[in-house]
Amino acid sequence: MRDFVKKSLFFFGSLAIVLMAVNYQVDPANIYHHGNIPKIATALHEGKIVYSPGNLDEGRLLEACVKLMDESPKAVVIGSSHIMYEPWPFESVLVAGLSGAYLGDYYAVVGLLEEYDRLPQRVVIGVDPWSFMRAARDGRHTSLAKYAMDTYNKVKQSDIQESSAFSESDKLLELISIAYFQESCRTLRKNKWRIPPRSGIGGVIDFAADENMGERQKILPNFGRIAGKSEWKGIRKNDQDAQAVIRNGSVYQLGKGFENLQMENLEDFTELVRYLKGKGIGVDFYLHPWYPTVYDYFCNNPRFSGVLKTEAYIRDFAAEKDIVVHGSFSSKVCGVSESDYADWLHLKADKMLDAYNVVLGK
Amino acid sequence: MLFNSVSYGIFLPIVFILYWLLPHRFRWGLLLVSSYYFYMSWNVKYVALIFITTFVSYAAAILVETAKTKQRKIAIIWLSALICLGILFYFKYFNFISQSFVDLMSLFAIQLNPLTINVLLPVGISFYTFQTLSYIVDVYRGEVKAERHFGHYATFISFFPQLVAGPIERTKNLLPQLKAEHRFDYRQASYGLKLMGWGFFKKLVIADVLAKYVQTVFTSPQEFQGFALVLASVFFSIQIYCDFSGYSDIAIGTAKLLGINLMTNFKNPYFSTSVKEFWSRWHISLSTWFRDYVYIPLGGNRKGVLRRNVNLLITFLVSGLWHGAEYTFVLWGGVHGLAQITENCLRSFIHVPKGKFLWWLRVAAVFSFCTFAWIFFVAHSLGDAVYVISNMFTGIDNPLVYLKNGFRDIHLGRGHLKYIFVSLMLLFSYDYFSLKGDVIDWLSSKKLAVRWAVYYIFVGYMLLRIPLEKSSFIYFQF
Repeated sequence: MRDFVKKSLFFFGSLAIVLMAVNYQVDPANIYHHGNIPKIATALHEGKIVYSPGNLDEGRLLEACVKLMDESPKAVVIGSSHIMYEPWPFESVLVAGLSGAYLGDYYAVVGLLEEYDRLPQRVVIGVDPWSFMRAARDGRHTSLAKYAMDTYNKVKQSDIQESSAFSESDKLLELISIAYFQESCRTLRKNKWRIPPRSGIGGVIDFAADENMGERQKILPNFGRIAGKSEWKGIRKNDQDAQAVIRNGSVYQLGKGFENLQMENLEDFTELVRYLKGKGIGVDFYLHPWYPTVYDYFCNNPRFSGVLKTEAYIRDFAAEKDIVVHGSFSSKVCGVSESDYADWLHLKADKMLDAYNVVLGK
Repeated sequence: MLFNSVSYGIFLPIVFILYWLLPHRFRWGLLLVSSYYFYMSWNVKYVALIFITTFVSYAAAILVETAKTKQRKIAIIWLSALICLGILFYFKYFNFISQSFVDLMSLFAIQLNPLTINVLLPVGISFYTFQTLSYIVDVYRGEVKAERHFGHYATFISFFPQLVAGPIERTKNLLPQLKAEHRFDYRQASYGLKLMGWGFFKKLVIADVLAKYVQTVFTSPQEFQGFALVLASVFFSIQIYCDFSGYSDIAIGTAKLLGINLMTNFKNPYFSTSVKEFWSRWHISLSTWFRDYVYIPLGGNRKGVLRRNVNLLITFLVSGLWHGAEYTFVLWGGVHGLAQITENCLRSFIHVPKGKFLWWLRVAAVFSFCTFAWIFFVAHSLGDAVYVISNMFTGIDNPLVYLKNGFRDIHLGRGHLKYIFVSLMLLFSYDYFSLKGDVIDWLSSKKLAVRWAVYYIFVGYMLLRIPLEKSSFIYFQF
């Protein structure tokens, strides 16, 4: 039996070592390597522009930037990559865009600003229809989860301590995670079987000279982004990608869609807004228009009827609370067409500003 | 606790080490406690059902053995069967019978509201109920002696590797093994571990990958037509085989780690050349159970051709109903029964010549038939099954477009197709070579470097291809 146990331990042990080594070294989500983030935050704080490093933990960088801020910005824009790109029509703005942000990430950003006493006079919330598919403490950016929980407790006047924050034990478990191993291997393959350059090691920060569009995405001192040329796909590719999404019936964060509104999450959203207004902060909403064919798909497919219901709910709530709603999920309402999109999901930055300036009823 | 879960990965090594460290006289106790713990990880309350079924069958077998008259023995059997099957009926068939009765009444313009109960189906109830029934009947027939040691008997009924989805063990095979003193056998344990590895491969890398495409189509088949329906049906044929035989391999492998040999449940069924042969290779523990406890008592083939065919049909209809309380399952059983009757009739008139090409042709025909029958099994309603069958070949007049649209509609791109192909080739090769000998034994006879290289490549491939969603085993629902 000893022989059997020894051989089994050797076999499974060696596999585990390989798994851990690959997961640690490749580290596609930068769980174990984020040494460069403070340096990038310092550079941004000094007014420099940097090229966005691969596999950036956006939440962690935002946290580092907010910590270094000398004073509160006049405005903060909260939301997903839909609101990530500059220009915004504010004199002093923090563009707190986090890719694929959910309601929990809205809560987290508010909590982060409050923690460092950097709440602004005005908050623009870029509302996405998928935001309410997850609960208020269940954001996508787990590095900010503790702030989401803090805000939740303040809004709800509760004392809950559970959050989706990534703990040290989670980190250890992720070392032997098969899912993480698969992601690591995918990253390796994309990078021609080399460990990809990342924000964590090397210590080299790639500075950009100006705010003009470059080959790669740039991060501005206010955390806003300038899209890289490679992110502009062209109308033909955008159409193809939109068609592929429709054919697959699975749309980015919306997945297979939803018919009924998650009322509990929407109510948590309205409570967050009330909380901000209660602190004397002005709140606006911005609805980013979807690619025309994708929006038509939402209109004609009952599985995505929740998207239209979300806009109606937000507009009703805004009307009730006297909140301005900029833009719309509908590209027609915003007056944008296929050629105004950088890719099938995002408007070109200047067109986003056009969409933002559309306010129904004005 | 699922075999494909982290908790089982912790549970099994603990049981394994404790089992071999403990003296023989304590081992049954360890197995009993761990089996009940294993079951309780699903639902604590339902462990009472196993206990009741175990106790009733234990007492009934002793009473049957000691009863003086045949009538008294039969009365005890009926009473115990009534209790054990009553539990099964209540949890599994009550709503079905109630709805069927209401449907029947509505034919006579009598409108009734069906009386339904809202309970969870206890995992593995059909499996352990059948195991207890066969035990009582075997005692009645004098094939085995009634077990006096309740602990040994309870371990036999609840033995965790086969508790929730079989193989449905016979008393003669399992109970003496549980009582016997085992010494650790390196070859047996090593074989068990490799068999478990192969079972995990079938379950995680093939069944779970194909499940995604099958679900896409069969959740709402009306949204699809043509080759997409064919692909989904073929994929389900492979999925259910890999899911269930994978489970059986893991169960048999686990038992081997504990020095116990469970019966073979699958013998490369898709290499059968007739439906009859398919049933001698598919879910062997259940098909032999039905043969021994339903078909033969009904008269088997001893009472003429007509009676044989009727018996066959009844057996398969009951087998269908065993799988699930839906008409689609009954129909699936019926289709298999009718196919065997047809085969029996044809065999009397047609002499089938032998030859390799013809052998492959027959294998393909049986696989096609099984795939056709599985449609009834997987469809949510009879209407869905009929839709799938009647729309499978829509658009075939333009074959290239027909094929291309099929892959497109189920969202199966080249990248995934490539991996599915590789995995299926591995499965096909393993099963084909298993017809000639034991592949695991063959591999074990190779040089250390060769076989370890194969193990590492195999496990590495698995790690990369395992889908990340949690999944259960199809046969748990039965």
